[in-house]
Amino acid sequence: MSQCVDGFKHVCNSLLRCFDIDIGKSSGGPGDPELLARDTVCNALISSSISTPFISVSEIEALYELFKKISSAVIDDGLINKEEFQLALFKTNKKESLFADRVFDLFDTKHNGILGFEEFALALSVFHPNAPIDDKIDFSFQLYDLKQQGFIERQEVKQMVVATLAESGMNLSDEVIESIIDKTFEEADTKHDGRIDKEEWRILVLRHPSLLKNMTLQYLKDITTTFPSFVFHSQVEDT
Amino acid sequence: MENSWFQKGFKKIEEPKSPDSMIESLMSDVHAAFAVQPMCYTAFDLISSLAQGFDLSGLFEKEERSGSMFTTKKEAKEIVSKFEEIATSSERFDLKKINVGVIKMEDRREGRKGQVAIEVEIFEVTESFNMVEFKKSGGDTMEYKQFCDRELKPSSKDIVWKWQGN
Repeated sequence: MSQCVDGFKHVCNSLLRCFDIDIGKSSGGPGDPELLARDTVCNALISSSISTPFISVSEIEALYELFKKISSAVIDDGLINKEEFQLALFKTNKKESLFADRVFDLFDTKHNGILGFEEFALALSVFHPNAPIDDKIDFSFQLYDLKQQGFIERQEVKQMVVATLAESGMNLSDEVIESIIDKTFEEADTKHDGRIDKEEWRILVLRHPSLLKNMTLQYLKDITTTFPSFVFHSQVEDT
Repeated sequence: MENSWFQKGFKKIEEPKSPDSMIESLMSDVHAAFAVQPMCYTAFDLISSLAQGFDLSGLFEKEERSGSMFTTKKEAKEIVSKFEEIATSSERFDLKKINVGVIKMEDRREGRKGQVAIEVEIFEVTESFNMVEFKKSGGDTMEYKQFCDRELKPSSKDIVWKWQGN
C-alpha cells in the first residue's frame, strides 16, 4: 500500500517539475490557476491513489490537454461550465439532456456549477479501463439515482425512460413503457419494496455486465496517443 | 456398375445440393434458432444504449459518430431475414448463427486484414420493440465501414425505427 503512495508521489513530483519547465502562458506566480490546478490534482490523486494507481505522468498531462480544450470552448477561464460540457459531448450546445446534466452534477463534487481540472480528472478516472469495478458500479448507481436518495425509485426509472425515448425521437405508449419497467423491477427489485437499492443494483449489474458499458472509456487508456503533443513537453520519463 | 464386384462397398454419391436449396435449409436453420427469444433488455439497458448524455466517448471524438445501433418495431425473425437478404445480395457475405440472438456475417473474400466479419445482436425490449446492435468482429475497419455505409445501412432502412444518436 505505501509503495503505491510513494510511487504516486514520485509521479506527481515529476509532473510538478514537468509543468515548471512548460512555463508557456502561465505567469508562474502563486495563485496562478495552472499551478493551482496541477497542485490540487496531485494532492487529490495522491489521496485517492490507493484506489486508482494507474495514472502516469503523461496520462495526467494528456488529460489536462483535453481539459484545456473543453474548458476554453466558450469562456477561456480554465473551467468547464455546463454549456462547454454539452458542447464537448454533443458537438452542439443546443442539446438539453437530462443525462448530461446528471453526469455534470456528479462530476461537480464541489457543487458550484463548474468543473475544475481536479473534479474532471477524478471523475474521469472512474471510467478508465483499469478502474475498480466497484467504483463503476457506485458511479452508475448515482447516475440513475436522480433524487440522490440512496435508492432508485420506479418513478425515476420511468422519468429516465421517457426522457430517453423523447431524446431519440421515439414514442411508446404508456402501457408499453410500464411493462418495460415492470419487467425490469421484477428482475432487479428482489426485496419487492418498489425501489432498487445499492445491493440490488450491484447484483443486477453483475448479472448484466453490459449495463456498465458506458462506465469504461477505452480512450482513456490511449489518451497519450490522442494528445501526442504532450510527449514533447514532457522532460521526464514515465516510471 | 451392375456387376456385384463394383457394388461392394459402393456408396452412392449424393448429388450436390443446388444453391437455392442450400439457402433454404440455411434459412430454416436460422429461423429455428430464432424460435428462442433473444436477450431481454431492461429499462436500464435501454437508457444506457440510447441516452447520448450518458455516453462520454463524445468527449474524445472529433466528429459525430455514425451509429451502429438501431431500434426497430420488427420482430426478431424479420430482422434476421433482413440480414440474410443483405448477405445474399452482397454476394460476398455468409450468415452464421453464433448464439441465441447473435448472428455473424462473414466475408468470403480475404480483405486487407483478413475476412471482414460483422456481429449482429438482437435485444428484445418488448415483443414489438427490439434493439439491434452490430459491430465489427474481424477484418479491416475501413472495409467494414465501407460495407456498412454503402450496403448494410441503406438496405436495412425498412426495418429501422431510429438510429442511435439521431
